[in-house]
Formats: sequence, C-alpha cells, structure tokens
Amino acid sequence: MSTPLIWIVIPLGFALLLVFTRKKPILSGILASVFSLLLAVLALIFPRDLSFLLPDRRLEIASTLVIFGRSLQITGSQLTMVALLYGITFLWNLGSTLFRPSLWFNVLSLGISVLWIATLSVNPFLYAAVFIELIALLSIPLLSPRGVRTERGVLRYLVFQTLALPLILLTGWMLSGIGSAPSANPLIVRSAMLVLFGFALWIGAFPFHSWIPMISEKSHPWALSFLLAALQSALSVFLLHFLDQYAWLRNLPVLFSGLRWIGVIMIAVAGLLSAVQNNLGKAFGYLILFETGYSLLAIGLARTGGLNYLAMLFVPRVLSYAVVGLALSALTQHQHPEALDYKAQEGLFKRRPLVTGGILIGTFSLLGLPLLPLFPHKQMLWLLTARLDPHLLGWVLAGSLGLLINAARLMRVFSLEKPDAVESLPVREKTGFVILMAALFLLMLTMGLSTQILVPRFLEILSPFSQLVPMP
Amino acid sequence: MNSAAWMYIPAVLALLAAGTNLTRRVWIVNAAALTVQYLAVFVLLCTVRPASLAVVKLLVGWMVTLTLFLSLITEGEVRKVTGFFKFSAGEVFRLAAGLFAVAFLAVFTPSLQSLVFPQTSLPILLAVFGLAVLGLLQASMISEPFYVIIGLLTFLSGVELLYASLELSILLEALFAGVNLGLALVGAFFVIKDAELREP
Repeated sequence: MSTPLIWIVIPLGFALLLVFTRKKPILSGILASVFSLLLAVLALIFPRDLSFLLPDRRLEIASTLVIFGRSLQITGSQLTMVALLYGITFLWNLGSTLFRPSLWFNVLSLGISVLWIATLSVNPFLYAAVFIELIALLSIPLLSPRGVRTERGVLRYLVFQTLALPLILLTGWMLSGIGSAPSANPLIVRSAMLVLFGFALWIGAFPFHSWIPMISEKSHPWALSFLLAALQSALSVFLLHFLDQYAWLRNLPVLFSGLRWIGVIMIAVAGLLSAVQNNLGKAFGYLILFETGYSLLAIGLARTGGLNYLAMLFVPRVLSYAVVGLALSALTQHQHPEALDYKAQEGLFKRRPLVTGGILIGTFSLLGLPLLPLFPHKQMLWLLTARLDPHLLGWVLAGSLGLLINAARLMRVFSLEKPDAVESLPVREKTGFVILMAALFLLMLTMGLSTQILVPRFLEILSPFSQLVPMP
Repeated sequence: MNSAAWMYIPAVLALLAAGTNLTRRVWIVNAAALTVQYLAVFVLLCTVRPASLAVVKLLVGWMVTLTLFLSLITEGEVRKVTGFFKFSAGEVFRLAAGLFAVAFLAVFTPSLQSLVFPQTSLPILLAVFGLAVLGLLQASMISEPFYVIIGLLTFLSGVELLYASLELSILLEALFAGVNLGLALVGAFFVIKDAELREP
C-alpha cells in the first residue's frame, strides 16, 4: 500500500468505473461526490508521518510508487493539498446533481483531480507539464460539450496549454547543467524566462489571459468554475514547487518584484475590464483573473509572509467560485444562450433572489469586503503590499474599484422593474439548489466572522516548501 | 554532434509535409501529409533512439492520423479533390509565411545549435524548429478546430523530436503517446460535434 495508490491509482480506477453510470446523473454525481469526500477526509486525518501504531507493530504506508523508472510521491506534508483538490471535486460533483453540465462531468472531474495530484507528485516534477497537457485535453468535453459549437476560446486554451509544455520540459533539461551556478549565468536567465513564460500561459497571466473570458462567456458555468478553481489552486502550488526547489530561480533579483507587478497589473486589468462587461459569464472570467492576480501578488510577497495568505485564500476563494458558479448555472439552465447577458437580468432580484444573492455575495467576497471570508486575508495582503511598495496598492485599488463598479451595475440591473408582469413572477428554485446555496452562504459567513474556522488548517499546504517558508 | 548529409532528406520531407498542412485545405491531402510527416520524424528519431523505441512514435502518429481521418469519413466530411493546384489568397499567404519562417530558421539554426543544443545534429534541429514553428503558425492562423489540432500535432512532433535528442525517458514517451492520442480524440470529437450541429 502506498499514498499514490490511495489518492491516484484507486481514484483513477473509480473514475473509469463511473463511465458505466454516466447516464444516471444523480447516481453518478452522488457516487463521485461521496468518493471524493472520503478521499478528502482521509487526506485530512491521515497521519503526517504515514504510519499507524498497531498493538503489535508499526504499519508504515509507502509514499512512493515507481512507474517506468520514474516515481509518484505523496508525502504527509502534501496531503492537505490533496484534501483541497478532492474537496473541490466533492463540492462540484454534488452540485452536478442539480445542473448537469455534461454527461461526462463526474468521470472527467474525478480524472482531472487525479491528474492534478499526479502533477504535484511526479518525480522529476518537470514531467508534470505533460500531465497538465492531459488535463487540458480532458477539460475539452466539459468546456465544449456536444450540441455546442466549438468556440475560439476553447481552441486558444488548448493552444496555450500545449505551447507551455515544451517550455517547462526544456527547462528541466537545461537545469541539469546549472547546478549551483551564479544567478547571472545566461543559462539561468534563459531557464527562468522559459519557466515563467510557461506558467504565464498555463495560468492565463496577463497578457496571455484572453482565453479565460472567452471560455467563461460560452462554457457551462459549473464546469468552468470547477476547472478554473482546480487549475488556479494547483498551479499556484506548483509554482511554489519550482521556487522552493531551485535556489537559482528564487534568488533571481527581479523575480519576486516581477511577480508582484504582474499580480497587481492583473488585478487592475481584470477589475477594470469587468466594469465594462455585459455578460455575467464573461464577468465571472474576469473575477477569476482578478484572483489569479492576487495569487501572484501573494507569491511575490513570499519574503514578507505573503504565502501564508495565499494558502488561506484557497478555501474561501473556492467557496466564492462555487456560489457564483451555482447562481450562473441556475440562470443558464434550460434557457437560451443569451441567458447570461446583463439585459436579460432586469428584475432578477424579485424573480430569483437567491440567484441574485449568490452572484452578489460571491462577487463581494472576491472583492474582499468585510464579514466575508476573503476579507481578513486580502486585508493582510494589502497591508504587506503597502509596506513594501505603496505604489502597487494604487493598482490594487484601481482593480477593486472596477469590480465594485461592476457589482453596482449588476445591482442596478437586478433591481430594475420588468414591464412584463408575467416575466416578473418569482421563480420557484429547486430544493437542492436552495439547500446547497444556503449551506455555502452559512459556511462563508461563519468563516468571515471567525478566521480560525477551517482556513488555518490549510496553512499546512506550505509545509513542503521549507526554503520558501522557514519552519519555526 | 556530427550529422550525415542524408539526414536532411527526412528533415526536408517533414517540413514539406508540415508546409502542405499549413497551406492546403484538402482533408485527404492533409491526412496524407500527416502520415508522411510522422514517417520522416521516425527516420530522424532512429538516429538518436533504437528503432524499437522510435517505431512507437511512428505507430502512435499513424494511429492519430487514422483516428482523425476515420472521423472525417464517418461524418462524410472528406470532399473530392478539385482544383488542387489553385491557391486561394489565404493559402498563398500561409505558404509565404511558412516559407519565410523556414528560411529564417535555416539561417539561425546553426548559431542556435552551437549556443544551446550542441549535442543535437543540425538536420534534427532544423526539423524540430521547422515543425514547431509551422505547427504554431497553423494553430494560430486558423480557427477551424480540425486544422488547429493538426497544427498542435505538428508542433508536438517537433517537441518530441527535440526532447528525444536530449534525454531518454520511457515514462515521458508513454505520456507523449497519451497526449498525441488525446489530441486526436479531441480532434475527432470536434469534427463529430460540429458536423452534428450542421445537420438540419
């Protein structure tokens, strides 16, 4: 028995079994969510030294699985990240029983989570680039299912993810010649450029972000929010792997300041562009970009403690995505493709208050308003940014202002009176939707009121990165 | 690394095939060009790998081509070749862009070899960068899903050839095979679902 067997091989087998139940959406959704929940809970409670004390002996679980001379390794310190990824899979599979984004959602979402975990555990870890390409390929049926025309955003996504693959692989090869060379070595600068360019393509960093709003406008919000929530969380941690592993990279003089600048530019661009959107899906894409900016900013602030806040952003952010994703999915269900246009939302507050609440609370939460779960962590990031370089805070402020304008526009549209009395009648929401949305609201509110609930546990995500976050 | 003069033959053949795919919009010709491209890459691979390993890439490549071609046949998308020697303005533009890119690469590849890849032979490097650039041109200039997939497959052929000349890893070979087959399945999926939408 080994940890990769428990969290990679067995779930992969289970995902393949789900192929047989794909035509029974409720059963498939329940099976996938219960299985993911079990894996998430197991990852949280599993002993970090991977050993159990039995009455007569000590049972040790191996952390490595060898395949073709290379290995998959999940150590005890990585289990919190594993729990986060399976937690995301649980939540989205549960929601898939309400809104069926694709016949293959349960199979593929579980498969994608498995591949993300393999990405974070493969040795040598540069091979993860190929896993990420496989994830991109598996995402296609979710982003562009049958019955929907293949949009340019999906193709651009595929091209960008494929383009990043050789950049990261070549870095691996170049690195073998670097060793402990000084950071002025041209080989180091070349490798650093390749790595950062590859990451920018993967994560959709400015100016390679165009595919995110394109796919968020056309794809199913539930599938999209799952894919991007997992991508953003896993890639942030993967970037930390790079920084932790390679001293030459983290010692580059401009690296962290460069990341901070890219982060704040993304926050500003995404926020300001969201202010002029006329489609909820596209605006959601900019919200995700806004958060990518915060992740990069937090990593850029690693030297002053920013990584703690990066780790604590993960869970509240995922919950906010889930709330917005649920609300948008409810809007798109059984409706025409323009269902997410702003002009179609007139009078929505009266017709569907829960949906309206989901969109607004999710947006306000991501904006970092008080009483909502992201507030304390974003506040600390603002503080660290201001201490290091007050000019950067102006960019953050500009982005937040843009997002606030977008929220104000939405509130105005939602509260407009519809002239047609029949169309103004309240819509009865599904019971499951009401329960799930209420549970998410409650969880967010509780986490907003007390920062000590659940979130600090996720600081453990940083424990494998001893070079970046010195252990006490 | 020393390179034999004959290695330029498969390298040029691979570039010609990629150039045909970049330029022409005749699906049967594109499938044939993809087949030739994988064959040329196989011959180049044999110079850096045992043939028993290189043949895996050939088989995967042909399987990929077959998957795409069969999906086109199934959906009745393979049209008769008419006016093969007539070039549209778009085709002329892509041909010119491809020729310019290859000429540019032919000039700069020797210095790139001495600077970055001294262990890789010049014909292989020419094929690597030619395939990668022509593939990228195709994936970025065209919005038809089928051709974007062919562009990405061409790009990956170049990447795989380069990586094969640098390092041997069986796991990576297996993963690359998975990526190629995955891309072919995604391509077939695009062809089938877009054809379904066109049906009355």
